[in-house]
Amino acid sequence: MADGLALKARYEALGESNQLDEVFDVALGAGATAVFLDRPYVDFDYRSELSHYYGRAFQPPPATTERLIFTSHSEIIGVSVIRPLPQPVGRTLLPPPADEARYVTCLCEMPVHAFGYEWRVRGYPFSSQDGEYGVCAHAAIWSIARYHHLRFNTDRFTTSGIIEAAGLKERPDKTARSDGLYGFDIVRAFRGIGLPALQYDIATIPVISKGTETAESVIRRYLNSGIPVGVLTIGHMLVVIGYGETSKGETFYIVSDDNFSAYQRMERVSGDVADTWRMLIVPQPGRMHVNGEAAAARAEEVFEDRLRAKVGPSHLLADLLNTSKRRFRFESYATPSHTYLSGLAARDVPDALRDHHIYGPQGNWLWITEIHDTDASDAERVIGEIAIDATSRLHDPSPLFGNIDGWGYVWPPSESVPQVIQLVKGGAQYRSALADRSEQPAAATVPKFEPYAGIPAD
Amino acid sequence: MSDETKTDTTADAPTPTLPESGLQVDFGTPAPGFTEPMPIARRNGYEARIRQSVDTQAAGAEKASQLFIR
Repeated sequence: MADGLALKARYEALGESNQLDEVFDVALGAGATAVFLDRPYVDFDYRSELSHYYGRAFQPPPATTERLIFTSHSEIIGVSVIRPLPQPVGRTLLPPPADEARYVTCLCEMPVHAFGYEWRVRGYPFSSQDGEYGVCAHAAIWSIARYHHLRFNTDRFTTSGIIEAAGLKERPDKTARSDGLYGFDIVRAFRGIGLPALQYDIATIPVISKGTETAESVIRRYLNSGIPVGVLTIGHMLVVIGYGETSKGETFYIVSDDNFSAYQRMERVSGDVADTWRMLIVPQPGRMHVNGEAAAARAEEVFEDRLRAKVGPSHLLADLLNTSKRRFRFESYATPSHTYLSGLAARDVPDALRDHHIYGPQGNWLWITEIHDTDASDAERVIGEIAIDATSRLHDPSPLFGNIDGWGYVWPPSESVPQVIQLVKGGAQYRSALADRSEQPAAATVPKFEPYAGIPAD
Repeated sequence: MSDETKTDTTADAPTPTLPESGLQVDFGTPAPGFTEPMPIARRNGYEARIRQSVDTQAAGAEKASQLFIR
């Protein structure tokens, strides 16, 4: 009798692999009850590495991989490609373990063809670095690029494509092992694959913003948008793909680290040690000229303007200016406009506001700032929201449309004064587009594979 | 062969419906002025935050030249 964990022994000859252990742990935590072995498997990413690097060796590794297919009782939940290399974990997509799932904001779907059907698996892409052709930064860039490809339909790139995009000027038949990358090489690689990246020096965020921003406030806006945030320490690159908030209001993160797994819970490392988070790199999947801080500042300004206006929800102004009790809290995220509009109905936004926003002006990507009423229940959390044109000028972000407590606003092009109309008399409040990320207790049970009573194939 | 292709992530979207015939959306009229002047400090605060966000990007680009990832 064998169970799924016995399959790990098959790869012991390749060497110790934390990542392989984590693959099995993550799969079990996500609800896997069985694992199937699919071999030989021709993997697009490994074939690229083989043809550009490993295939040039006197003794090249095998040309094919093996694929682990993790299933629940009724469906495939995830896959992991095992490369014939000392760092064997290749392209992997598994759902987050149940204990971490509510905090992961960056999830995409990938089709899997197996057993004569097409299945859909959902998670964050993961691959370990091979330590030869690519280093940790390449694995991190690959995961972000593949995620954006699957979620936002950007182009698909292999590690070879990423190395080419970093501008190292290697000839296809003369590739060399990687010594590493500077931060600007990483930024250039992202730009080269169509994902222009914002850059933040974490230490200077509160200094330059005079305390109005922190690393947490910056990171959370992008995670709210489903946009992963790259983190550089001295010598290592991680990818932040989710966050949660403790009962004390402290933020913790879900991090994809190619040395471990796609879903590691950790707090931001500050101070002056080797693991200190030094820099953020935020590749953007769409045309976004306005960053999160500027969009939020303009939206908050617009909100205050509308409360001071002669026509509009001026009854809320006293609460906004009351500094002893903060009734309003602002949460921002970027989104493709079609995604935003198609999500309005599920949030119970009144039809009059929906129609107003659907037929209002909007480009491809928007920054949305929700104004949360902290006195209201979750079903009525949002008392208004302002849409900022993500393609407007960073120095002067443009509001496009919005609503505040039943009042609708549209800003005609190049006009600072909006058109206003009361669409829901008596006010309107509805659910947030952002999920609750408050910390919940973890499950006490340890999941296991179901025993296999048959005779395993060799 | 690799099984990866582009995917549609809108599987959870609500069932599409066409608008009612003749639907016209009224966007209202230009908003008149303000009942309350905005305190200068608050006004400057918003615009300063936008300027600072530009400076933050420049500081990030400078940092990118200092970190080497192995």
